[in-house]
Amino acid sequence: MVGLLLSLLLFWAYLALLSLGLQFIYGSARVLNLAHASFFVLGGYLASYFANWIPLAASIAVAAAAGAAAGALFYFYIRWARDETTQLFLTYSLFWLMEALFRTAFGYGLYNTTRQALALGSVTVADQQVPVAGLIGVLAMLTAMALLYLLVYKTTFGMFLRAAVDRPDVAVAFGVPVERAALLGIALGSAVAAFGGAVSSMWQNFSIGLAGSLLVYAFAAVAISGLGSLFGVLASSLIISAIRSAAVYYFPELEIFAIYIAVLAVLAVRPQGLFVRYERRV
Amino acid sequence: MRDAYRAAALFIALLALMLAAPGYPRYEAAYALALGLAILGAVLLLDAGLVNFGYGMYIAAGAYAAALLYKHMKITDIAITLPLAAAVGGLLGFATGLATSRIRGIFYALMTLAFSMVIYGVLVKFYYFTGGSDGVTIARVTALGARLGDLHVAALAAALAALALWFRAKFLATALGHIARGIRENELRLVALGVDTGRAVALISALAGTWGGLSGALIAYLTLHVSPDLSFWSYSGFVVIGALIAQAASPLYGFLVGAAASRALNLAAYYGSAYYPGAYDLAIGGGLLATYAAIIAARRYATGR
Repeated sequence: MVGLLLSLLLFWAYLALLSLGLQFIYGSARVLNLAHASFFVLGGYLASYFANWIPLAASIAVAAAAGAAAGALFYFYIRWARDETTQLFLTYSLFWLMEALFRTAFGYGLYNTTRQALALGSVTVADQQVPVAGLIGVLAMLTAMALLYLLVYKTTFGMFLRAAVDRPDVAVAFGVPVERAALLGIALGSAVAAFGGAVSSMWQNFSIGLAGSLLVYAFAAVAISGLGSLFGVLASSLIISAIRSAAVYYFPELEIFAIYIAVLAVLAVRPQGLFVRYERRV
Repeated sequence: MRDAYRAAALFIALLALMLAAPGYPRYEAAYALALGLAILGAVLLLDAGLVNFGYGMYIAAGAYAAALLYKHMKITDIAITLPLAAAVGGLLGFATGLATSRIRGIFYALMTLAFSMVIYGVLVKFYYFTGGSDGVTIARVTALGARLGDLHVAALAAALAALALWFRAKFLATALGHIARGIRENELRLVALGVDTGRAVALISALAGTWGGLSGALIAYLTLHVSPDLSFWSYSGFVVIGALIAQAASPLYGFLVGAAASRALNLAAYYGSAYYPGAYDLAIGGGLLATYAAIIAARRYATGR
């Protein structure tokens, strides 16, 4: 039972780290990035690569910084999209271009930092060995969530972000640097994704094709929670993790199928998502 | 009547092409025609402004209908399998259409992509029934008991392409065809006019799925092998590129142009991957980017904005 609970917690942290950035970027720039999982995977690759030479914590920081830089580049790329359909095609194409990049730069190998994670040891909870790396993962997710929350709701920058998205014209009239807010929002969201990937490289192999399957999970989380809500995606990640753990435990063939049954059920009852107050305008 | 004559002319021209072409080019031409049926389905959705990034699931549904009928019941007669494959694709199209009847735009694209990946997962994991990632090999094709050769299957592709052209011409003139374009232009106005747009989307999706199912069965009999890759989203990516080109090329014949272009890109990626490992990814990403940029540029040039 503890084992089941543990895998549930770990997958929750994993999925939430992946989808938090996606939600944050949508909430701060109204961009739904189909290539978001690629930024997550980029973080995992970079952290595993650098961890061969520098300490794990430093390589995670490097990965997060690289994610922020990649996010800034992404902002200038997505700025060309004036409408939603263009955004869709641009981000979908970007996904494949990044896949080509990964294949060229990292080849077909498996990248992870499990060696460094094992060195962290484990603690015993209720007669069960719990790896410290997993606890760090959960802690990292909760910290990222708390920081994003404080940033969005308790700082002036967060106020600018919300104003720039809700009423861009009025925000401009009041002197809010709308463009810069979107740039920083996207860079930060991408950095969170890369950070998440870097942290989860402690228990996840990074290889070609992972970004595609991750996108399907991240989208399930976003669809259940509704677009833009940070707490919503935290809750929906937990729901999905619970469904997945139960499915893997009892009927492993139906893992992703069970998750999408839940997505369909939510869409039938509340198409805008469970944790959104307003109608979705996507 | 004009539509029927046009379709008959296309059939005769394609049949002549199939008879004249040697083995491998004929196979590729027939494959492109089979893919054309799928592109037509994707264009039907694109008419309504719906970009389906999981279209491959309908193709896979039709292909697996044909393959599993052979694997478990040894049925290969196209008089039975083609209608069944079309029905399976149509049912899947209707189901996904109902599930997505209220969502549009990026969310629609992502949702269909996710559905196709769910189906991919099911096809891979239920290996004792579907053959898993190895897929299913089909040994023969028959029609009313007579065995069909490569040329016969190629001729069948030509006939179905002609049927698709006839269908496309008819569809553009129906109320549903007009409603589809209305949904893309201004859905709110259609609702105000009393159109049930959710139902229309489900119906269009069912039609699109039917063509996808036919395409899948035909591809299964052409390649004589079916694998879950048909439902993988890279395959759908090629369909979307083809559908975009089709929509830009011509409302009526576009699906043939789009199919040829999409198949050519896929082949280029296939041969290119011997030299550069990321050729497939680059073909989909770069191909879609270039296609979309060209369409936007042409539209700006035409409207002067």
